[in-house]
Amino acid sequence: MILVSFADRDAMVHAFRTLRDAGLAAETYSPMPPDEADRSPIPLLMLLFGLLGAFGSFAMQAYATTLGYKLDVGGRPNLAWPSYVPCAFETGVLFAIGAGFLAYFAINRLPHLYDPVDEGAGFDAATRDGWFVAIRGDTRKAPALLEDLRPTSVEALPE
Amino acid sequence: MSLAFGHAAAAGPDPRDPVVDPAQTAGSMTDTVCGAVLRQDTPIWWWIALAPSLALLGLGVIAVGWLLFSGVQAWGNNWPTVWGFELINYVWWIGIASGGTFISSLFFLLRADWRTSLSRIAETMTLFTAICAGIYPILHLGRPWYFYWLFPYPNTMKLWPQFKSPLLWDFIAILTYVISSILFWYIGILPDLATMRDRAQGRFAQVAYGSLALGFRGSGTQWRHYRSTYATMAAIMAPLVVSVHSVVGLDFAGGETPGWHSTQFPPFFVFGAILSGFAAVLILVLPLRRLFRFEPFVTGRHIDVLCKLLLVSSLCVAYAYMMDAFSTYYGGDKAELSWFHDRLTGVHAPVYYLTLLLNCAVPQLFWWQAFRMNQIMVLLVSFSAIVGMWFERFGIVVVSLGHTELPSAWGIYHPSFWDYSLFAGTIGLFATGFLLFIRLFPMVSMFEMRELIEERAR
Repeated sequence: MILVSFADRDAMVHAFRTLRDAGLAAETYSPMPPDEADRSPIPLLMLLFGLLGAFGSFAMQAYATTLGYKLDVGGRPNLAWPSYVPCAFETGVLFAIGAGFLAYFAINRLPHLYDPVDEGAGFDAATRDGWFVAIRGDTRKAPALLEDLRPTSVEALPE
Repeated sequence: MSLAFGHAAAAGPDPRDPVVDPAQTAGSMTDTVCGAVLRQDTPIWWWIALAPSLALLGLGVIAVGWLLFSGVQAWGNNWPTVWGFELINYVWWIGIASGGTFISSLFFLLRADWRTSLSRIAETMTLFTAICAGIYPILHLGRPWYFYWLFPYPNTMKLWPQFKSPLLWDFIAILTYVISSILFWYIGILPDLATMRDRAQGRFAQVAYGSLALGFRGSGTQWRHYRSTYATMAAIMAPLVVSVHSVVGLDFAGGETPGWHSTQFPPFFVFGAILSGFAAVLILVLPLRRLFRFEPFVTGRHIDVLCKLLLVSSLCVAYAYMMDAFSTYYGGDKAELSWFHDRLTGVHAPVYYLTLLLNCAVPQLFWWQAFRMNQIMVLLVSFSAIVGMWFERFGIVVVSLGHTELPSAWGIYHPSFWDYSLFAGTIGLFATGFLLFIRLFPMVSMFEMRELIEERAR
């Protein structure tokens, strides 16, 4: 693995794109999100689970009050659907937040307490003000490309 | 630059202060925020604050123990005032909790730049106030160990909870709110836990923060999913907090008691909640910015914005009080009129006038910049709103229940020693938890501050 550091965000993003386009397995490490374009399936998953929670809760309440345990209070209708809405909403929120939380860790394969990249000298700065790109796998093409990318440091690490 | 800012800070906060001191860099900000936590010597003020908090918490533990031993007769609530301190304090705590969620989620969606350095303190406050609130309804059940009966679980009695009751909605709403607040807080602090792991010196601290950070390293993939997850959670948390306080309002509006049975209760409770929420955030932020030397990130601009928000929510609350009186007279219901006159002239009349004074009149001082920038005045006005909101709930619960349709059922509520001690206990629980967290976790969202600092530098 080759760990390369850069002076700022733009240099890192530029280097990452160059390396990736050259077919190298590059990954950035930065103290804040590197760029604006965020695509993730998690929001869609949260929506689906939210809807599942809300409709599931609604269906359960409808079942409980019409079939499971009928309660005649002054002849009021058993299927009092407006009163199911608050619980359905809250359950939907709970499912959506819970799903988003779990999905975030699942999709990133966390917990992942140790990674070879941690051995890099000064890699601590990745969570302070350092901008890094790690190149894994076949790195033979990397040195030639890095010459033009003006890295501040280059380090070879065992994988 | 930094020297000039130092002078400005010495001269006191100014609403024209930048949202972050221009001399700050991502690195210096990270070091200040981490340094406040990772310092070896615990500051003396922390111990001084912890001692009374622990004492109050101890009193609270005794109060709960006595309650479990003797039953709810330990409390002062009885017919006709079946809801006493427990409901007052529950609504008071959950109202304060709203401040954190509003700042961290609603103002995140609005992309307010001042929100960045306040969100962590506010969210941590929410965490513990929501827990304090959650304790009350459980203890109020009489047999708290059966609280799971509120939950729809398969049982041999083939019973279901009453889904048509606002009290059940409340249970589900608070449960959702507490769990969601914890998860949202944890997702929000995850990158900062990684920062702490990489800054910590001792082996124990490294392992502890490292375990909590779960291997977050700021990789491109982690950030890509992070932002969308966090933003989506924020978008859900904002309506959630409104729904929670609406449901709390419905707890009351669902009853036929005079003064409660009103459609304005859900928004009225949201207004009251944000008033006490912003007041509590101000009470916590003002000392912390000084003690942690956070003046470069929590500037006059932040105080100014929070004071203005407090003023706006105070005006909303004043509007709700006006509508409360208007609908009583416009409706002309005899029981309602009798209750309202009791409120104006009865034993608890001072409570009503204090409510108006502390929540509506005193915050009007914030129309003047001189008051918004005077930190002592800001603390006093915030305390006034916090106390005023407690009186408001006292008036709603006690005056209404003691003055229902039937004159033969009128009565006056006398809280017992155990009511007071449990209230003191929840204050101790909040203070202890909050103090522990500000000692252990970074109280400014560092990765968001880095983005803000970089944005300003461009």
